[in-house]
Amino acid sequence: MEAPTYIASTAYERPAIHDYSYGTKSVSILELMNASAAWAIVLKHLPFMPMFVQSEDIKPALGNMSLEDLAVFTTMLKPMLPALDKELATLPRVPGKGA
Amino acid sequence: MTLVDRIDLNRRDVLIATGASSLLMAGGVAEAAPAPRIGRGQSFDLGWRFHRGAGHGFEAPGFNDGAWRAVDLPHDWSIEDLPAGEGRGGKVVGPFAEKAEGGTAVGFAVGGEGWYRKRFRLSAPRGGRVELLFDGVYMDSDVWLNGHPLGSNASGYTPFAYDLTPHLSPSGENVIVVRVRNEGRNSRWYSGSGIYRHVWLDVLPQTARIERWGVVVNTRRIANGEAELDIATALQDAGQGDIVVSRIKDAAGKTVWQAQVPVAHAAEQSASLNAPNLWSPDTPNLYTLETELRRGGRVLDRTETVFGVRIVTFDATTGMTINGTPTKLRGGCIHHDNGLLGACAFDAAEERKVALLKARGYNAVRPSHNLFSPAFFRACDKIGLFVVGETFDTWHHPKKPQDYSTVFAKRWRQDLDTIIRSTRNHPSVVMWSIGNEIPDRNTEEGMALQWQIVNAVHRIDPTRPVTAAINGFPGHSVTPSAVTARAGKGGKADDMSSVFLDLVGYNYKLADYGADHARFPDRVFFGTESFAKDVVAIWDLTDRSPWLIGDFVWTAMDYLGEASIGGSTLVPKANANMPVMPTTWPWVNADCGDIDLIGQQKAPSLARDVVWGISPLEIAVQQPMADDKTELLKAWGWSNEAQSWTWPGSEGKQLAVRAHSSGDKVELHLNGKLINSKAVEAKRVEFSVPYAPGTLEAVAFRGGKEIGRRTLTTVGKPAAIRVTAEKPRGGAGRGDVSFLLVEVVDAQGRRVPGAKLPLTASLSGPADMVGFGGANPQAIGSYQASTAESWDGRAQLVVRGRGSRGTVGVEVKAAGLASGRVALPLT
Repeated sequence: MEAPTYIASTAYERPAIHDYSYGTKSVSILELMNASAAWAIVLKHLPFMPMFVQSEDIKPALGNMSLEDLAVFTTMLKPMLPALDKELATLPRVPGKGA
Repeated sequence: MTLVDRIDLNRRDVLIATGASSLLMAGGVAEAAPAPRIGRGQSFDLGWRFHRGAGHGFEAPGFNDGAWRAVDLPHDWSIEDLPAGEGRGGKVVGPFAEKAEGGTAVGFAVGGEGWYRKRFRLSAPRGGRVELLFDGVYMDSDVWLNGHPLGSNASGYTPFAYDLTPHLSPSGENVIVVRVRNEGRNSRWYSGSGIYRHVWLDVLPQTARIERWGVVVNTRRIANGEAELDIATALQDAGQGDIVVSRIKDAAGKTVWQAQVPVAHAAEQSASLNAPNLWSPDTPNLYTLETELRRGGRVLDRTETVFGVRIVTFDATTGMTINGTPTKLRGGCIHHDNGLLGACAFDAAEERKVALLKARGYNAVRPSHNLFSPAFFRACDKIGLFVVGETFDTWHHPKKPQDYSTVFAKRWRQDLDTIIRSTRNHPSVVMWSIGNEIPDRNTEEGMALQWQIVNAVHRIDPTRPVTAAINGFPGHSVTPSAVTARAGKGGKADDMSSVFLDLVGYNYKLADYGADHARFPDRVFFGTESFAKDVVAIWDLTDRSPWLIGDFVWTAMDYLGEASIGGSTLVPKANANMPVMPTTWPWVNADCGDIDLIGQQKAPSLARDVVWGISPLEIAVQQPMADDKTELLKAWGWSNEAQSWTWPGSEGKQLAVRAHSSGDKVELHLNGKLINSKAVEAKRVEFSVPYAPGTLEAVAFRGGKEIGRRTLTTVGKPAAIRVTAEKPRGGAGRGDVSFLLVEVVDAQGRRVPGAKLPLTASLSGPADMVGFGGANPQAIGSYQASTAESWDGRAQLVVRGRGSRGTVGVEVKAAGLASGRVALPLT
């Protein structure tokens, strides 16, 4: 039995980023906030979001959480997501980088 | 024999003052600080003076610190009762302040500034080296020796050392001064404040030495009854003629391998052990590598490196193995505080914490989210827990305004290097986590940083995989090039958060496990954090999925801070669909642990006992509530259940009795009469039982055969206090603490669940009381006074030796009850 080794790689090249669509699982809340068309749809369905995203405890996590992730902690959110997803899906896909 | 004794002394070359330290503190310190001698790792914990608050000129050698308080280390001022006037206009309860700047995050504890001074007698050894090592100081520290600034440290968890040699006084009279600042909102949990871990002094006869954390031992191969080890020794200022002697001893002290090489060959050695005793959590066998640096027959330096022989592998098809045997990480996350002792990292407290987890079936721990004390890691080696060694809670973007992110860019490489080098020989550590729920990790900047940190780890320690705890959104799909990717992953799609990780940690993402395994069939992953309430579902999937190597519940043990994220709350039934939020002051404790703040098992742990096969059956009863109320669980919560059938005032009321069982059927009997028999689903079954005092008995069956039986009996009124020492003997040293359990019992000696009674403790003999309190998650009083309140019929009392052997008498009283007494020998 040989011990495995984990060897450092030698050079950094930014990985190719694939294109993606807007949705409650496919982007972070921060990305939704930064896309005005997407955020307008979110606010239409979830008008309480501005108050939520101002929370000091939540702010650092906005880039790490999708709306679906948020629903793990706020169960009332879950039923609202399908309609939101349907509308977000009408937005153009975001092109990738180097893919 | 200590390291100090074993170094070959040439005392003519050194001028070490003899006799006791010139500073024998009055009050609270009975053991004199010993005078330093030649050698490594001399305790420097005793004989400090402390001032809580800021000031000017405190670093001056001639400053009169006579009015300062005497303290011995480890010391945490945030767990001490707040001085008058520190409440910022809010309520103050013991060490907690309603208006504490850190708020719920730190459990309403108060930081601020504190100063430590210690006088000691030591002259510079001619041609030698004197160095002072701090295991951990929270948070920002500045150190002076005889008025000369030695340096500053900004990480509250990493060890750091200073060379004292140039500034030691020719007279031999020295004063070391440490300023510590724990200011602003810098932590998401209770951190403690001050020099809360040990301090060590190295006095070496020459500048030549074995580099600090410079010895590393790795198991390369285990085959044919033999283990092959790689040993590397880094030296400083060694001469060409110097030699390195390496010697491996087994647990019995028998030398099983040794070699002597010129320093030029010390960087890489190989060793073979016949019939090695392998390390694993089930067989935590340890060896000690003694390393000596010799010059002309003299030992200039000597270290001992405890290690284990083991090979750990990870693979999506075969899972995790230890020495070829499949295993799972039955894990729990914990923070570093020791309950009533605050952050004070007494060795016995660290070992007790590890032992408590082991006793509850854990074989793995995730010390969150920072480096824990050396004693903690030693305990994991010795008792047998796998460890996820975690490095950072933030990178370059903050979670709190004054947290580690403010210094990350400047410090991360150095701190990472220190964390790994100081910890890499522990066999318990099986992987490194480079971060927990790191903000902005999903950006291009974050991805580049992930690559840098992963590769920095691999350059220091290529024997362990790297992971991170990923919560929520893992980022967009990316494809790395072959030159950038980890081995074999070039051209393969991954997520931004995990693209360079060897293993992927998931926080609260059980719902994604199946889909992610389908997307990434060769990904090895595990739950780095999970909710206790998911224990059955998690382990059902984990046990049958090799790619899912384990899970770490948040948390294995209650901790101070993140107040009230666990537990439950009662609301009017009409509000049953409202979101439940954590409560705030006076809650100071997270209340989400399997084990409470004083080490007692809580209801979620009963379910885990069944899931992990420790017990075939466990039952608990939900606390009765008003008819118009319903119970809502907090995110990290669990129903307010207790192993109790003593609910006075609830006679005739329907109570929820919940059983966890590995069987297929559970019968419930009350006072000998069958109440109901139900099939077990997902290891759980619930009964509704009209409360009547007496005996409630559950019997579990599998395939018609009884596999377990549990009984709860109504107990009588409180009649007495019982005090029990957790161990028959305690340590007498100033660094030793001993734990005692205080219970409120009825006339038959049965603990009275739910009993909340004022208690008064007194001590006689050579010890101080350093902790006294219950597990109440709310701030109700001091943790250091002689009065406390029981919680659920229990309290804890902690005594600290004074440095002399003897018997400590402990008496605990409660009004109207027979007192409890115990005599604890300290040796």
